[in-house]
Amino acid sequence: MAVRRLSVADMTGRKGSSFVGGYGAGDSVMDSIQTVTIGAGGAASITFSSIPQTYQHLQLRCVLRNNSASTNTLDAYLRFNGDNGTNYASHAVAGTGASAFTTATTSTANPTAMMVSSGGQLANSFGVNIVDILDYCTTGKNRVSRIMGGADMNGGSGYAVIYSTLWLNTAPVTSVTLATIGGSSFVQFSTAALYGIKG
Amino acid sequence: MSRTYDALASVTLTANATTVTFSDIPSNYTDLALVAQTRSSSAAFIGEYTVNGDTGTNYSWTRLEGTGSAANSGRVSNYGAMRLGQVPASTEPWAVSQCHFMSYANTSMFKSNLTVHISPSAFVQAWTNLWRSTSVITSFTILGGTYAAGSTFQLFGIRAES
Repeated sequence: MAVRRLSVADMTGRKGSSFVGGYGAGDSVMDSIQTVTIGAGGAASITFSSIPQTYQHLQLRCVLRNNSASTNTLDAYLRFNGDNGTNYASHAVAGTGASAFTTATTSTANPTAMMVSSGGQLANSFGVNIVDILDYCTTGKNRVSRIMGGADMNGGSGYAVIYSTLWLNTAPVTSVTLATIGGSSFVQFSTAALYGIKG
Repeated sequence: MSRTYDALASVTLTANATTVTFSDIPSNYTDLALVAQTRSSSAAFIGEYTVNGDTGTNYSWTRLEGTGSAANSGRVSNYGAMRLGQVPASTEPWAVSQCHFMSYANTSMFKSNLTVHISPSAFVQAWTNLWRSTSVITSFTILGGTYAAGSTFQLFGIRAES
């Protein structure tokens, strides 16, 4: 049986430049802009504001849990620039383990975009999500997000989901808000990290 | 703003191998991303991976897949590994995978993983994997069958500023 083992010695000195053509050693194409980690008091929403307009794309990487007593994984909404109007659409294809299905909403104020595990589910388990907000400040384009998300509860329930959301607005994105549903709050250790990706 | 996305390790198999292990993973990143291109040395098999040498039934997963003729989903609990996806036979096109270990060093939560796996002649698959441990991930082993020479595995660290 062949085993290939890499030690930390193999990992030192391997910086990103060899994997990103056209950039020199030390250049960064992905920057951490801001990270929010929820404290003991919880929070109903997470907002990133004053987003720099110097990147091509944004990426949000989130691990989320809410304090609902529900035994179901819940969604979170994704909104831009404080717009709470019915200016969004979303689509999803999802697997629950038992079945695969698809959903769509249009002209909604609540575009479902992320998986959030609930307080009534397996302890220590968080929903995980990667959100790509593409061309977030390019003029003349409505804002489209691509999301991969999921949560697994070791048999209690589980989801693997691919979402898209559409914000019918061509304004540059200057703020992003993640919001829970049904009056719940994100619990302690929930984290959302915003990154900028250069073009 | 500090550098965020670092290439940690890369391997291209020069011979067939039944396992590939990344060990001594530094704990000063937020997430890990594995990018892989794989093929079997013979018949297709299901690629999997274990964490920190744990071969117990401490894993579970949920799958979403499209075959071209149907959309399917499956789930398993108390399992012995995370799922990478269908590794194609030696005569088929290479599969590509992205596996994201989220908050891998956070000791306040179980470890979840999002994987997208494309086996071009058969499946598009999305997996949510769970390892029921709050331990920091310091190693993982890719296994499940015999990976063909030429299979590649690249590990990246992604760091969020606090």
